[in-house]
Amino acid sequence: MTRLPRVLFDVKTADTCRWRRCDGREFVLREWEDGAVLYDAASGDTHHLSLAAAQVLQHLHNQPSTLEGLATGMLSSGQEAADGQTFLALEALVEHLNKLGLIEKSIEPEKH
Amino acid sequence: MKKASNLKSIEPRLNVSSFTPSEITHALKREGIHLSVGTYTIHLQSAIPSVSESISLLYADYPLNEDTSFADFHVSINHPRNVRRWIHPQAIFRIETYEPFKPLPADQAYPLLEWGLNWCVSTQYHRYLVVHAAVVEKNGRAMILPAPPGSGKSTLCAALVLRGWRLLSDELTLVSLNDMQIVPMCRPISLKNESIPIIQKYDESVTMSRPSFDTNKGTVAHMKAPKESIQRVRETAPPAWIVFPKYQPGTAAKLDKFSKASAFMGVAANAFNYSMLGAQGFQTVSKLIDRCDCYEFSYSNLDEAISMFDRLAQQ
Repeated sequence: MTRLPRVLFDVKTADTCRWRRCDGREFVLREWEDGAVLYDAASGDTHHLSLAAAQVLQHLHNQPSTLEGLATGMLSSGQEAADGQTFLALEALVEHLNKLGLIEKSIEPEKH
Repeated sequence: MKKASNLKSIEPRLNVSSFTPSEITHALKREGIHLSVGTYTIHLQSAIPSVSESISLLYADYPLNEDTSFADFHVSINHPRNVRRWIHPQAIFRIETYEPFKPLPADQAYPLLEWGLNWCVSTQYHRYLVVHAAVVEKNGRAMILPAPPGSGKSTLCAALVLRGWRLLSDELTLVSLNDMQIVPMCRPISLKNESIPIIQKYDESVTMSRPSFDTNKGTVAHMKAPKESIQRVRETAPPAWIVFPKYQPGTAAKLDKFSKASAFMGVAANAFNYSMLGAQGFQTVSKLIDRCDCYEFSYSNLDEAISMFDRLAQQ
């Protein structure tokens, strides 16, 4: 699985909003070494995704997460943080998945 | 005309070529014939001479089904019953009493029959994933060639079968939902425009129908499938390669690995019933991609293409 590069992450730019996979939607995800496809049972649509997008969806399948949480969760072992550029790429990716109707902002109150 | 059922003990099975062209014409005009094309049987009736001529020529090696009580598709191709019977005559394709297409000029009757049969399979054969793709086999492994019109798919398919690959289908790849085997649907190969003289030159012994001009695909002619492919039409093959071909004038043959996720999308886009099958369609295409090496292929020279594919088949 593709991991985000070993870079520093600027937490000051992080959005505190939490993301989750769309409620009640059934997805089937298949990954190969060079990309992934996802079947959305509700719409019948099939999406061609990057491995990073697949990784985001898998991460959000387990639990809702902020961008910061996603970035941390997707770092490969031994990495400590992601840089601003990587974070912006992740933000764009999340926005794209949101536009596709695969993820949405979580309405759960944030736990402190 | 000889009755297939009466001669059962003498000849195991009668082919179209067991009868003279005039006998076939007569039978087509009256009760029709039951053609066995691998997994399905067609009951065909037609009073149009160009249709019976092409059936006698291109379906010569196909068995006539002895059980005439059942056919998967009851189709006919005739002149419509209107004034156009006499002025600029037309041909209309029917399955049972349904007419899925508008009438076409009578000169296009035979291509219309082939297109109609493709329509029957692609709209009704949902126990298979039906992909708009040619498929050929060598050394027990099938190569699927999905591609949009104009990519040179049928020309490449014709050349491959003329050089020893077995024809499973030039137009519709049937992937069994049960066991992922490719089920042959071996029928004449449809060639268009420049491909017709190219293939005639490629193998001068090739048998081809009289061309139909000014169709919506240009000039169309059909090439007879090799006898061996017809005889082995019930022999399925496991999928091994998916190759997306593209004819590019003046370029050397080039075979590049293709991303599996992109190949998935290419197969899904070319599958007639992918959406209808829903999650099962997704799972079937996934399994197909898992079992195949996927390539993009560009070519301009048929010999180069064949030699590249032969090498692939030997690996």
